[in-house]
Amino acid sequence: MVEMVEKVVPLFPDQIEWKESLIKTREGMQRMKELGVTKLPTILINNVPEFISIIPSEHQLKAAIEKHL
Amino acid sequence: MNSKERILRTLELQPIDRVGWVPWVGAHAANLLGVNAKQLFTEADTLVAGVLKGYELYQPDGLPTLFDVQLEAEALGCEIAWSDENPPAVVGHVLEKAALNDLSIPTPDQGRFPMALDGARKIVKELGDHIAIFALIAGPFTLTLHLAGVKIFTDMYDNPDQVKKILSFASQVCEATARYYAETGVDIITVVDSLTSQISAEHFQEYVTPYHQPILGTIHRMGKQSGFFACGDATRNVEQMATIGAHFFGVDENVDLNYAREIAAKHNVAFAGNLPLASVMLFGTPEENYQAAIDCLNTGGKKGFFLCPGCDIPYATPIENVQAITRAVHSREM
Repeated sequence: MVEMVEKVVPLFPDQIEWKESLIKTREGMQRMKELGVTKLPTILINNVPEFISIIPSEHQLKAAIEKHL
Repeated sequence: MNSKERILRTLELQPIDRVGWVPWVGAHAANLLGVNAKQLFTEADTLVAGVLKGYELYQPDGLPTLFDVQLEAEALGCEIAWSDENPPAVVGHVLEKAALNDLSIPTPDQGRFPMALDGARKIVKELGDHIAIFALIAGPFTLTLHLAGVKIFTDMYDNPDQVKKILSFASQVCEATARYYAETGVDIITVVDSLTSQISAEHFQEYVTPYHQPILGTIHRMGKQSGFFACGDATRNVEQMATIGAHFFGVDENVDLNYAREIAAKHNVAFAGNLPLASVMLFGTPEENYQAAIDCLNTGGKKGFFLCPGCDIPYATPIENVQAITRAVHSREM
């Protein structure tokens, strides 16, 4: 899932920032709780869960990001 | 009934005296020895020592040998990266540099296969009379992703024939790996196709099920029992997992164990799960671990179910948390 994000992010230069939160860290667990994420992995865009346990295609992820810009 | 019989009978849906317990001691075994994960994943004797330590501390009914589904990809030329507390990760995909026709099925002397197979033989020799020994191999979908990268998620829509060519090759690699492990004397070969939890049920039918059939056929012809495991929220694919043809399917805490039990019963297969890895095993208290185990035991029932973590136990999981689970399991002894 992260690899797909890494592939798509360069298509939006200077427009988006992203970070990976890992559940195996206390910070990651905390962030998951704060955002109400219950399933992993999940891609959130502007804190909105967009892809829950499904790896999107490049087109799908690009379209989801564009919706938020 | 000894531990080994308990697990083997579970997978045949036969009556058992209590539910079996299989802690997936992967990278965590390195922590038990006070070494880093790379040492465990590259040295057969360290692997054996780690598994023996897990046996001594956790009184399991079954244990895995090497819990590393990057082994096959690495032997095929994928670049891997090591970390101190996790199995290696694939960071370079061989098909970005080479053509599929240039790849050939790894032989048992390539990559880390020698240490993996040597470790498995030694673990079988030490523990094989007492507990069930599980070999875990990468599934063809996961291996395809390792070989080709995330491009396959786009190609599944735009270029399905190319994805299927890679899957066919990956399936042959998995079949060979299963054969190598079967020859070491392990009891059960589990195909770990974790990334299949992240595709639709339709894609599962098209891109996963057909490529598992030859692998499971080989495992069964060699007289071994089989499993299918996918971590992540595999809810949408549980029915496909249950009907893929393996003796059992395993799920993690993202899947409701009640639902897994219903589907397993409907299709007459065994199932396994699903102690929460991070929230309970890694960060919880022994009391929380005991309770989580009791909850799973109550939900899973006694027919065709064994207790295990949702995936391999995190490196830094406190020993007393895992031992609390062992206590919960043994509290059910008649």
